[in-house]
Amino acid sequence: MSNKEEGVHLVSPEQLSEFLNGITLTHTVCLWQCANFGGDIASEGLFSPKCSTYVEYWKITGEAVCVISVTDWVVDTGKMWRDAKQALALMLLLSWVSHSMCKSFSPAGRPRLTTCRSPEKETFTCWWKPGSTGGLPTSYHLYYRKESSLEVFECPDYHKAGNNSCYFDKRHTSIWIIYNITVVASNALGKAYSESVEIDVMDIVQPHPPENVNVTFTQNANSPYFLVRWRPPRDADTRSGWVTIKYEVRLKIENSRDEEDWESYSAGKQLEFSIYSPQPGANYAVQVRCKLDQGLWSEWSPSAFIQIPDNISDTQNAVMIISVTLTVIIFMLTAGVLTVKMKPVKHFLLPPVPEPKISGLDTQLLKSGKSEEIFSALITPGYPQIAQSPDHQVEYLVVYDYDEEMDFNDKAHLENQKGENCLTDNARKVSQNSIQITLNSSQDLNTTLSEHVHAGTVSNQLSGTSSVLGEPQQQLHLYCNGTPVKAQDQNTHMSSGSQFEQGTINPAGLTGYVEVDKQKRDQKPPVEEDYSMVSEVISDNILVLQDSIPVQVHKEVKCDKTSIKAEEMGGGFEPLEYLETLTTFSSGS
Amino acid sequence: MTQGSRLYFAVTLLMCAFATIHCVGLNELLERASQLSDKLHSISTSLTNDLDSHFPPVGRGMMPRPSMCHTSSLQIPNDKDQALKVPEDELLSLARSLLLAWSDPLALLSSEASSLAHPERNTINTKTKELQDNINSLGAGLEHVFNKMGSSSDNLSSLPFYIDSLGQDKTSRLVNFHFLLSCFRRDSHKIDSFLKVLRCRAAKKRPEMC
Repeated sequence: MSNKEEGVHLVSPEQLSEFLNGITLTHTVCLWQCANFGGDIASEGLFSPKCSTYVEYWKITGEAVCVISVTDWVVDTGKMWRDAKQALALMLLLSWVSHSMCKSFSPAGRPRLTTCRSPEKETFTCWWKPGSTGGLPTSYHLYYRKESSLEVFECPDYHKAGNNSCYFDKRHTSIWIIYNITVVASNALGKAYSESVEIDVMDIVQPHPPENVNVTFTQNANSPYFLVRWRPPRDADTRSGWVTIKYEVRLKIENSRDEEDWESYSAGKQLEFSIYSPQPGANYAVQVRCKLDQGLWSEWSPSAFIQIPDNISDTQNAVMIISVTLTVIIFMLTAGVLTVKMKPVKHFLLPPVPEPKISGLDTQLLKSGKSEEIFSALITPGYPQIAQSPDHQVEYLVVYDYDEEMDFNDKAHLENQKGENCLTDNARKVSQNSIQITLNSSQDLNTTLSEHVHAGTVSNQLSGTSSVLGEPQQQLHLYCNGTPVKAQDQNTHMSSGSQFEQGTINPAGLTGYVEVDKQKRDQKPPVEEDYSMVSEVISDNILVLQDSIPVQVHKEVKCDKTSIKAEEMGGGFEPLEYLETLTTFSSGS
Repeated sequence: MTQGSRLYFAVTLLMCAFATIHCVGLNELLERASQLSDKLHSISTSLTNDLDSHFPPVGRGMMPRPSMCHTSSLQIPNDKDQALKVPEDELLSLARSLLLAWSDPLALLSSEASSLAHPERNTINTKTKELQDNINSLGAGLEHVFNKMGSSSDNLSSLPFYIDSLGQDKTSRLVNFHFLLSCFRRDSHKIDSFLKVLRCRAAKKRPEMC
């Protein structure tokens, strides 16, 4: 009998059987593990009935080695023989029984690791499914190894998580490290190793379902809703930021049996969720689940039920629906009517503002700034439309504008005309000046013309804002009968009766031309005659009026019946000459 | 307003904005950074799933071990208790070091993705480019966080990556692509966890941020 000591012995696999031969009858031997160089558990085992399992780790020395742990040193050979005989008897009995029952025992079948889960990223549990027991009592052991280390460990806790499970507590759990896990099933006849599984804790995170799910219904006046509330799963730590929880709620009407009728809503990190406008009279089932960061969704919590009462704001809904429909119908009708009767409605709502328009005037040309084109466009053969009646006296208006900016050459030519054309010339000049005024001050021109002038008015008036123009040359100098008539800043219009030639100038707008219509001479103008503004009378056809409202420029035209001598504008009217006449004129006044 | 006065006004406005932002900016920055890191991890997970859908049967012995990742030398906390004990600037520098270590390898992955022998090659290519963009944004964002936190020293660990090619034949290219991606996936999870711990720590008065 070899004198072996208690303890751990390292033996190479070749010498294993020889070593065991010598001591199994005298010692209690637990063969721990044999491993090859790669660290894989490889060898068979020997299980002595008196062994108790204990954890011991061993190191690979660089050779294949078997670790044998000897626990008992049986000194008493008699006891040993008795034990041996007992064991033998037992074995014979078992084999006889099994033989008589036509049953055969077999070594343990291969177990299988089913799943590993970590509920809070701090601990994890692994479960396995046993293989066949082979008819004999089978025990299971789980061994694991961590990445880049050859140490083999056994499961720290077989019981916390139930049967066929292994629970790794905080001290034994590391994240971002691969665990290599194997389960060994062993019975009296042999051992079986499961397939080893590699896991990383970051991949197996699945929390418990949320807790205390409850639903309450609130009858709000306009929007009834029910509120779902829950608590986070008990072991998840959200306060340190180690995990971030996200929730999902789903609900369905309980009446339907169909599993597909669930409606899911994502609830973010909050602990409550409101569902609006539930179906009245329905019975809802509500469930909540959660997940940690990018992990796996938990199981759905148990359902919480709620019954919605029948009479929630039905009338309100009906009223709203009816009113909305009516509004829509009215709107469509209005739209239809409008499209049909576009023009009259448009006229009713937005009365058209009469726009002065010079026929032949192109506003685009104005913008381009080329005055030759503008004025040449104005001079149309049919312009202006004057009803020439041989019965009427001829009225002539000669209009000058001494705005310095204006190029005299650019003004329309006034032809030397006899009487009849004075009117046209003046009209033209008036229009030119009006254009000039427009060019200078488009915004400020007031067309009081339109107010004052209508069919039958006596005098021609053009209003302009002298303040804008700002220059003394704003006055329109009307020539009639060769004498300059100085228009002054006036507000009123004068009509002095039959001495004045009746001329009607119908302005067509700011940029409009002044149409001069001839009228009967003795036709009384239906306008007021206001002589209060007269300050001086110069000649029988010139009235000097007071400057009552300086902002407006009135052009007063007083014309004589007699023929005039039109002046050529094209020839270039020298300002100097005119100034002289001005002075003479004013000196005379 | 003249040009000069307009410029002056804009500058004053920006400065006022910065002044107000400075107090709350860190929380928002960290929130945005953790959103980006979350996205990074989810893209890499879906990319791994795409790769696994048609992976050649390679024995486990042939696959490179995770300990061979080029970032495995970095000392990181391996469980919650350790992680919660790490000071903030060290957590941030860990996250930044990891992020910095992946800019070159991702460029390599990106260039190789278009020629992978895999039926999902186009999806993989797109997602790899997306990873690259997100990494750059996150890197820039973390620099801002670093400046805001005002740490004294910038102790980034250098984790060099010396590989310039994934392999010669199709299978080894695929296998190495998969291996690099798995390393990246794990590192993106680390970055995500560290940033989320940082975010929660920075938002002490607002528990809804955690």
